[in-house]
Amino acid sequence: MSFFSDSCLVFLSEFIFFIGGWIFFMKELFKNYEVQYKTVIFSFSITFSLSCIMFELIIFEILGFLDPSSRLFHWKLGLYSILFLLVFYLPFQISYLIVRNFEFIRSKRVALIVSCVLWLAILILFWKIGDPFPILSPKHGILSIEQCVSRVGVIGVTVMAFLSGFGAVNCPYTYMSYFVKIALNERNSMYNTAEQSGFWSRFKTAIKSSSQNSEVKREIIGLEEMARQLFLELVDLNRTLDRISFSKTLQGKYFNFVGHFFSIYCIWKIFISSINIIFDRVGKVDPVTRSIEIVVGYLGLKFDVQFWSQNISFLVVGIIVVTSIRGFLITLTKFFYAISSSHSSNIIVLCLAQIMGMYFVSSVLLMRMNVPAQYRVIITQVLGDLQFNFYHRWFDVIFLVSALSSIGFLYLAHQQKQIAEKHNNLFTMLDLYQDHKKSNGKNSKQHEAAILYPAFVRAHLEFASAVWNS
Amino acid sequence: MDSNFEKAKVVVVGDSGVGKTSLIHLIAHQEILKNPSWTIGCTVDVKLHEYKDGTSHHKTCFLEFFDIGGNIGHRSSAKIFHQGADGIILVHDLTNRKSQDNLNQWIADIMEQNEKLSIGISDYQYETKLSPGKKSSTKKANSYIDYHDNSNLLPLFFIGTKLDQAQMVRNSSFLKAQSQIASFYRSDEINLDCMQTKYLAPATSNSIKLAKFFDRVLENKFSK
Repeated sequence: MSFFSDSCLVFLSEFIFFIGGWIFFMKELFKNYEVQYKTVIFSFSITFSLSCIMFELIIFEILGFLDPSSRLFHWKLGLYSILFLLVFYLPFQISYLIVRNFEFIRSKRVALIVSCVLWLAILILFWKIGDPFPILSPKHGILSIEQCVSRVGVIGVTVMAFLSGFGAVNCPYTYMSYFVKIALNERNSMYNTAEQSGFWSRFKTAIKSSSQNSEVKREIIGLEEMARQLFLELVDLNRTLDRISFSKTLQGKYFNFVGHFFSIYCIWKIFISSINIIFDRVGKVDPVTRSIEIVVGYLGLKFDVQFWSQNISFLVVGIIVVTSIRGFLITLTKFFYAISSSHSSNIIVLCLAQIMGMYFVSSVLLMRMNVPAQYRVIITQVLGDLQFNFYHRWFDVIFLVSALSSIGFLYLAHQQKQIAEKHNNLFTMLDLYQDHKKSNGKNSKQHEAAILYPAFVRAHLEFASAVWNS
Repeated sequence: MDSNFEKAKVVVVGDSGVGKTSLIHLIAHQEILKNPSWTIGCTVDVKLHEYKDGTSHHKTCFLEFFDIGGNIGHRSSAKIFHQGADGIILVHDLTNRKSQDNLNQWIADIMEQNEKLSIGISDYQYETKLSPGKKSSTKKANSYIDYHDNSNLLPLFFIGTKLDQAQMVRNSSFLKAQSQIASFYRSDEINLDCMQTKYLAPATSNSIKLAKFFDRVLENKFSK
């Protein structure tokens, strides 16, 4: 195959990924916002397509598809372009949009100058990040490509390990119906006990005390705050209800089943990372070759090692690539919905594009570990001679830290919920509300607060009984 | 709870961040809300409205504005506030066209909770959530329309906010024309900026339209 036809193929697939990124942006990320700056979509889609191209080139490498020299060329081209985007273009766009958001800077020229200053500051920060890490051998010059790649790699690996650690703890927690049943039992036992704590006696005295305006105002503020807490509890109950009914469907049962295996895998991963760190182990052989060795050595099966090694690594790498892209995009969407508002949506989406680029570049870096030796050559050749072992060790450290802190965080959140629920006993509140209604006269502000409570209390009771009965 | 005044419940809905809380504060208290914060759940504001001022049927009535937080995650739980609505104010952001499109979904949610009522003539299709775990399906708005019986009509009113910001970005002809959604539902609408009291000053066309809407809400309520 000639260089020209290879390039056509690569550019065609780049274009397809570009369109895919554009559609994802419009349909999922920016579902509720209008696009004001077309350059934002453009940057996001370009980053996405370049990242996907790098994964595609690895797969082509394993399959032996396309000419080796054209592959190398496109690798280098893709890598340089994505580095240019991540280090120079995206930070500039982000700083420009941040500056435009400031209200006191009206003229475009001033905005441009200030954003240039901000951009230089970001670049200096980026440079400084690389200093404390032993990521380069001294033979590299100051302006080599390895400087950029190493720093991008550090940031990307940190993000990856952090997300993996959190995911490794969160996934089993979410999907196991086991956990849902525990939560249900706790809730049931909560509603059956009728406790009166200090908070409630204070509440009673506050109602009976006075009818002066300021006292009433304070009471209103307190009641409104309680209304908000109640509503958030209602949202929580609704979600639990949804989760329970989802786990009864076929898809839910499938996820439940897979969740068991996945949680075992997560626990194994946490265990292995700690072993790696404690014993300062560096893996030399990738899992594919190791498993083939085991199969051939212990089971004595004779088969074409070359052929199987190629196919299995293709399968493994393909699965890793697809699941990491999909998982990352889903996390991105959830995160975006949680924190965006109409002012900041553009800036946040660009920051997310930056993180996405760095994440995918470091996936390529870390993937070197998972492929047999003959395929590692191209990654080493393109990315330069980096200290790959450092990255694996760094990944393990951050993964472990993230997993342990997520376990701690989830446990604390669980405890907090239990304590809070003991105080919010529904039946005591219902009695108090009825006493309040009888003892007070007409006042428009009190009228206001009294409207809220029937809706809340009734709905809360409805959902509590639904949870009981399901 | 008996009171000397009649009351009607007006539900105020719209996407998160369009300015419902500032708007309701402006309508109910005639002053600008200095530090609006995110609405969680629902906040209630009350306004005394002179129903049919200057006629023999003049009454002073309470209008309860239920300002419902537009947070996407809370949307299904917020349905408890939609019950018993006597009128709907739909708020959209003039700088963000998607907030207008999403109003159809809000209308569908409200009508789901108020099934005995109809909202006037419309051909628009929207999606409604049937049961948890199942994907949404489309349902024609025609099922809520009753061409002959006007007694169960739920009045709608559309308000576009952030007019000052929109004027910088869009051309003025777009802002002066009636928005697509208001013409779909054949309802009145006004465009304003919640940070300036001049838009709802007494005797402006905006405040007259709003007063006519409130009169319609109360009229429907009394005729039931």
